[in-house]
Amino acid sequence: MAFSSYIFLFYFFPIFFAAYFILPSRFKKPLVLAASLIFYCWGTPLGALIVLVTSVIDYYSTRFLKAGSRKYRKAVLTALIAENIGLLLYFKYSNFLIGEINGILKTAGFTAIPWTGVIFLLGISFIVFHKISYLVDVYNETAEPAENLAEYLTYILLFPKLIQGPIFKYHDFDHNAVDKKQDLNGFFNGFSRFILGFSKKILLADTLGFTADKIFSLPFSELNVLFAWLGAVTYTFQIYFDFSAYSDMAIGMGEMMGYRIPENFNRPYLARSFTDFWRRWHITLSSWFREYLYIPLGGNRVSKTRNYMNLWMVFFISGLWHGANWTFLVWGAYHGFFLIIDKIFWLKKSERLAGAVTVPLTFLLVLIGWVFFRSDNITYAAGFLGKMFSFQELVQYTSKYLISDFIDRSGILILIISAFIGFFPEKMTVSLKGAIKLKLTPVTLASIQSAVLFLLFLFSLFGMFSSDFKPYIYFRF
Amino acid sequence: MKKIQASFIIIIALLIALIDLQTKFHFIKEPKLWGVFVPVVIPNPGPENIFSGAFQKTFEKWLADNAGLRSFFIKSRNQLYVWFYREISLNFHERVILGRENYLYQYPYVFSHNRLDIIPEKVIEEKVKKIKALQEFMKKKNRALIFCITPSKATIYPEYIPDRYVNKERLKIKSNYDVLIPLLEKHGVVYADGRRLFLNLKSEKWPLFPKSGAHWNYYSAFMFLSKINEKLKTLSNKSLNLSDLKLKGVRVADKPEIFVGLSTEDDDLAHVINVYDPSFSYGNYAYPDIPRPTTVKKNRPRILIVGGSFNRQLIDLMFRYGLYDQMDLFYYYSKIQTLPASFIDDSKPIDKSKLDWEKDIFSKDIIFIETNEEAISKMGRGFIEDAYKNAMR
Repeated sequence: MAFSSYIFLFYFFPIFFAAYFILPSRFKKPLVLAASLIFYCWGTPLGALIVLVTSVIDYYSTRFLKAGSRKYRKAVLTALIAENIGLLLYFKYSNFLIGEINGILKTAGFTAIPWTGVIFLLGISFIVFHKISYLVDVYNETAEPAENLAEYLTYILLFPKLIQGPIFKYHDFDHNAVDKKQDLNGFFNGFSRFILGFSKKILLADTLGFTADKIFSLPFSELNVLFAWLGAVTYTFQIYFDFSAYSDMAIGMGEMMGYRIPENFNRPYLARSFTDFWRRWHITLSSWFREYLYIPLGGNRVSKTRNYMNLWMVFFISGLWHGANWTFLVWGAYHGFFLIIDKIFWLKKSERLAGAVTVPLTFLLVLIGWVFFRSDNITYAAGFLGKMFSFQELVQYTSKYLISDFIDRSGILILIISAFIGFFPEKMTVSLKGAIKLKLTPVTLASIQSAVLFLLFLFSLFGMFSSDFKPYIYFRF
Repeated sequence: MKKIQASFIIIIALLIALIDLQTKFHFIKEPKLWGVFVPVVIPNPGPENIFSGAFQKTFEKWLADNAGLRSFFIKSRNQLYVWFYREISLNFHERVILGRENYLYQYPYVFSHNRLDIIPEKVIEEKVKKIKALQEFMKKKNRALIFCITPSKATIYPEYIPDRYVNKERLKIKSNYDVLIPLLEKHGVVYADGRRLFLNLKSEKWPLFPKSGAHWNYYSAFMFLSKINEKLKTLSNKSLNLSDLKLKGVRVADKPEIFVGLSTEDDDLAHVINVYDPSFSYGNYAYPDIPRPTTVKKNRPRILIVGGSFNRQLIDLMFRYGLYDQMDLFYYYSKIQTLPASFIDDSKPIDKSKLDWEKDIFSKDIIFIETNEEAISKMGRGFIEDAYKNAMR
């Protein structure tokens, strides 16, 4: 159930929040869990069953993490983590791995391994990371185990962050958030954030995605340098606005319930280096990797070479976590490479350089990385990048396509707005916010904010309803 | 401040509730959405459909198609596009281009105008040879086969297509039409060329295509039908007993009208862009003033028409004149319909394996194969090849 779907926006969301505020406090926790289960079951009923069974195993096995020798506890932790990683590997990567092995076998003239394919479990990457966070935090005693299975399941399955995060580390999760009295201001802020996220998704991300999808669906041989860049740039903004919109909606709904779901994005395209980028992009994932993988591997306390290797490995795994394809691996390795470069010299050097140099340079390199992320395979990514840098084609080669085949006037306007938002300087944002607060009374500010959000919501509904309406003029055969 | 915050939340909640109530009760009359779409049938919510996700997926699709106030939101968005951007959204299955002076173009015609549908000359020549062979085959049977090329709005009125939709470099390349015509001449095929006729007629004062429609108007369709009649007379060894077509005059209207009792297509594009007021794209609509025949001729010919949507106006006119005794339509060689009936609505799929070629096809007095300039790459849609195979047996 996507947050921008009809079933969610017009049924799940209003019914849940109406019930949430009508029901007495003691029913809130069961309601949140029930709603989260329904939310997940709707998307993947079989997956929900598998996740439930493994979660019950995890929950009851956690008691063994609290007793016995350290060696014994570590063995239990290792077994439980292995169980979860196994779950992730099987449901996310087995189709890919078997496909690759069968490809090799076929090339070598052997019979392929019979394989019917494994169902895809929605949100499994996030679920497994939440489950591991729980296990490690309980093992490290940085948080108390959940008091009962319902509390544990609520942490794992809490619907706003279930499918696409943000990743909510267990020691940051407040089981009693829903019991606290929620004031109107908090609810309004959460609701506003949800609507803002919804608008970002429909008005910005989906519009840009239309252009990016059209371009990336073509063989790279049919592109020219201009279209390749258009595809890369629109995708770069699409993925940011799409993902951050989802985070906004999740954080907003969390706030409406009383949860403080952590921030996931902080203007990533203003990053001055890859290190800076990962402090701004998918913040909760970087934080999870740092806490549960990078530091356990030795963090900065190891030799330089080992440290670089660890860093690269973390990003290699991070790439793999994003999807079962070589393209994601390359993307992860690519980011890992630049993070090592940062550590070797660039981080210090970039601090001495003007933002006008470092920000565009980082953006350009990140954009190149997105081409791998978006492409179906490495060959396509390489061909696409080749087109992006075939500048001689600007004068020599004319594509059979026109720019108007990929982007209309609305798309151009949205691209300009997206770039404006994406690159709007932080300092100016702070001073603008300050000036607005000084000039306007809270009442005026709330009025303007409400009016703008209402219009955004209305325009988003226009876009949402229109995106599914694609009639033919006549019957086609 | 709390009042404002509460009001905002209540307004959004009411809007969502209104959409929900409208989905269920339809108490507000919504404007009609135009176009053809396949209705979604929700599967049975049994365990198999639920566990496979088929039920959820289809239900969400159904909801998207049936959500309350949908037509208001869609029309509002499309209207804003026209007002603000002066164009039609790219995100349409059937892309429509808003041209200069509010001329509307269906995208496939512009696509073809830009030579994006080029097929090899030898493929076209193969088809032409088969058409010629079929023409000879029918002539031997004292019957006729005529091949017609109907014109494209984009090639007749290219001047209204905005520059950003025209690939000027590609216009230097020969189009399928440019290749086809010399081949038809080379192989001696008798054909009717709608483009040539229309370019000659363009200098006259009557519009040939409606600004708001994809197809020709009734006046220009009439002129083409007259041309076909002339050609047909030269094609068969015996007289086809065709009525003469007479044009008394041309009537021009400032909005689309219902002609010969059937619904108009003159504003099909204006409708499918689904704005509140499509009249911005209306222009002059030309209707032929033609005398209705007082008597119906005996022993009129029987015709099989093989072609696409441009035949609608032709068929209307053929009826008006009572030109044919029996008319069968192979619509895109995919659906069959024995006329008169409401064009394609009462048609049924063609079971090609069960066609009796001698009885159902070659026994007709006239076989009329129509292709639009835009569809030369797909001309006949397999009919020419199948007919040739069966004729040469």
